[in-house]
Amino acid sequence: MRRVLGWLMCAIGTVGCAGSPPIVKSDVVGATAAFDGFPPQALEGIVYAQALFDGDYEDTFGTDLVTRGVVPVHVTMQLRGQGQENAQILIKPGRMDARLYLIDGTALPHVTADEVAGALKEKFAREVRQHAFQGGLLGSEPNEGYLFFSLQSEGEFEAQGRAVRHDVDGIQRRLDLTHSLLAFDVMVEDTPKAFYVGIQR
Amino acid sequence: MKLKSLSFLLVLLPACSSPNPFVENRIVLENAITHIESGETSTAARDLELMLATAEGEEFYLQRFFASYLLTQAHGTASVQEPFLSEPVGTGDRFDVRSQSLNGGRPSRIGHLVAMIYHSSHGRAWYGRTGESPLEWEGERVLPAQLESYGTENAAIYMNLCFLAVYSELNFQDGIAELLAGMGELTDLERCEALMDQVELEAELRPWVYRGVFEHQKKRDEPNAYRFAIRARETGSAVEAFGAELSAQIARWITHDSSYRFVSPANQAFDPALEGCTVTGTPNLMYEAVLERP
Repeated sequence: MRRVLGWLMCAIGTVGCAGSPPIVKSDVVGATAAFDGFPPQALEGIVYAQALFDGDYEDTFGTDLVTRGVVPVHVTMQLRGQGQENAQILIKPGRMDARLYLIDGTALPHVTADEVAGALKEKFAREVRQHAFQGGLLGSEPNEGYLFFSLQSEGEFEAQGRAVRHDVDGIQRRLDLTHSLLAFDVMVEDTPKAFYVGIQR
Repeated sequence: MKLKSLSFLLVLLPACSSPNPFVENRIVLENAITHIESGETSTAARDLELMLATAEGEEFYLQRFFASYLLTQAHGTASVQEPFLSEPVGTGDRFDVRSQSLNGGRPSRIGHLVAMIYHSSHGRAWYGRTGESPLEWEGERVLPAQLESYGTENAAIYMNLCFLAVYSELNFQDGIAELLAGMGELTDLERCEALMDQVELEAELRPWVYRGVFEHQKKRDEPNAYRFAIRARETGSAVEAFGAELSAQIARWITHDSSYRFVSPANQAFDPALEGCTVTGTPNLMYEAVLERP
């Protein structure tokens, strides 16, 4: 039956049948929902993480950081589930190997709040330091704040609202920042665990 | 003359006196196939993206779709062979907890996985419109023979399997459930393997497909999950896709966390150190599921 179906598809002119074995119709081919970003939450063991590109970040910092070459990502981390009372998981932003992968695969480096603040006027710098993700010992209460990533280290970028234009090798890519992937490591019971979190809009 | 053919004619009238754009794009696709086969994945990716930047318009959907397929393949190949994307450099106090050292500039496997999602999502979006493009223009085929014989359907399946493999490696369980909701036949092991063979999915990506379906099935159909777990461990160790920890995690589910006991015809329980029963020679995959606790 499958063979008959395959040859029937050839007969009606489907591309790709010349000289090839008959293709069985598959429901896998139909799964073409539009990509709307990676899942924005991750749970590894008892460590929960969530990331957000806050559309109101300009109000938070008083200035548009993206046009200044810095992408602020709001991160929430906490412990969830059995064993959270006794867990000792310490997070330090500078030692979690945080990267932000734009959807074209370009990895943006993490920059510290002090590095970002150093390039800003004092009133904006104060907001950056105040809202930065500080880390610390994780507990059942959310530990949250902003991580910052630099757009200035790779190729040429131009901010376009919630997107950036990335020029590389003469190719211009328009990349939605909310399609990016946040990656970082957390030490859980002396073992590094990789976290991958999409960016909620 | 059909209206559709007329519109192509109008669009391409200015091109009549210049080189056939479909042929130029076909050559890019042909060269990209050669480059990917020889491991020159960055060259293939650059040329394909340049082609995508110039070949706009509905008449090019078919070529754009296959460019996305080849870009997905180029990044998939690069991720397991020789990554050309890199991790960030010059980043102050960035620190790799695994190596206990600064790690800027090392090859970025994850970057390529993300790029696979980027390009496969374009291809998945264009798949439905490939029928709007001509197969031939001015007596020239618009696709290389290899891609014509491979077919749009296989390319679409390939990109969906890549999507699943990447989500599996990045541990997006909820995302996998959503994907499998639209690709139910992948939960049938024989069907899943037949499809991976049919679209020639790379050996290094297959363990992640098995692992993704295993994680999905273990909350729904444990005996079925067991079969995917076995194939994930077998293929994952064969191509060194998994670290020892992940392989051990899967084995632990079989031996401790499942409600079933998996046994050979000689009633020998699954042993992660063995490939099958030492009495009957039955491979692990053929073990039976016996309900131990409801």
